[in-house]
Amino acid sequence: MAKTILTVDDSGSLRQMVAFSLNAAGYQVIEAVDGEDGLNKAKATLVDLVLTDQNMPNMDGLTLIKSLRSLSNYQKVPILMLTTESSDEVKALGKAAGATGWLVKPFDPKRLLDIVQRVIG
Amino acid sequence: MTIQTIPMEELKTLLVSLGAWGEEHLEHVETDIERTNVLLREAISMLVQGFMEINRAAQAQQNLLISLSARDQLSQKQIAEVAMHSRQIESEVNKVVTGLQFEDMTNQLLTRALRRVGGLKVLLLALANQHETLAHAHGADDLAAILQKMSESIDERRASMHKDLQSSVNQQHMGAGEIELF
Repeated sequence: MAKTILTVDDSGSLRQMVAFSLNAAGYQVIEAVDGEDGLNKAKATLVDLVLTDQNMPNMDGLTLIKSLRSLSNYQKVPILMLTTESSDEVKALGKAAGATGWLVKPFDPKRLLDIVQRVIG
Repeated sequence: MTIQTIPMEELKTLLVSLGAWGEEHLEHVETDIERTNVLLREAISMLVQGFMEINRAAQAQQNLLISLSARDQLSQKQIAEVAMHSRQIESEVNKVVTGLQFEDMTNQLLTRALRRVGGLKVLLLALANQHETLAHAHGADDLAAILQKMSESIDERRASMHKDLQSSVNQQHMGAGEIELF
């Protein structure tokens, strides 16, 4: 059964590129337009990996991570940040919130796939 | 300098003109940035759609060639050429996927530019509106107090804009970003 990845980003083109890259490798991708939508979709379907942006309307990535980590079934699910933010300060906040890793945009599809495979197989 | 030597009418006119002129120009800047953002988004959307279709067609073509080679209908040289083209397509697809993500970053930068323009408009309006207050100034102390208040208001606005509009986009090149696992 294909593993499911939730991609959370307010940019439609970014979500399409993530879905395109991961679908090609056999992953099932669910898209969410912001943190709030991501949280609702994560509650509705237990996914194998969450890939989230930081700066989004309604709920940002850090808040989404904290909210997911407070749910019993998301305490060990890998969460990767995929964001333009690259400062050590924000990365430290992400790590403290429970992020598994940090990817600075733009991503290279091969490298994204490599990191996804390392994290969830 | 004493209050008698300050050309109050000219000062008021200058403030009103500066505010009105500045605001008018910033309106145009705002409109142009918004249009640029819309055009960029539409262009990228078209490129994404086109890219998806081209990729689908290339995949279908590739599958057809693979099936022909499986039925021994291609020579070894042709099979090697098909494999080479396949690698080339994959490499170009990766570059396009990376490139198309810049719409997200340029959108963030344009949105930040718009918010800065909005902040400047508020500052200029506040400056222009001070002519009412200046009309009631009697003496150097009054004028000094009003100018001091204007400076404080500008400083507050500047500090607030600086705090709210820190850029998160630092990319200076078209290459992919760093990856770190915690």
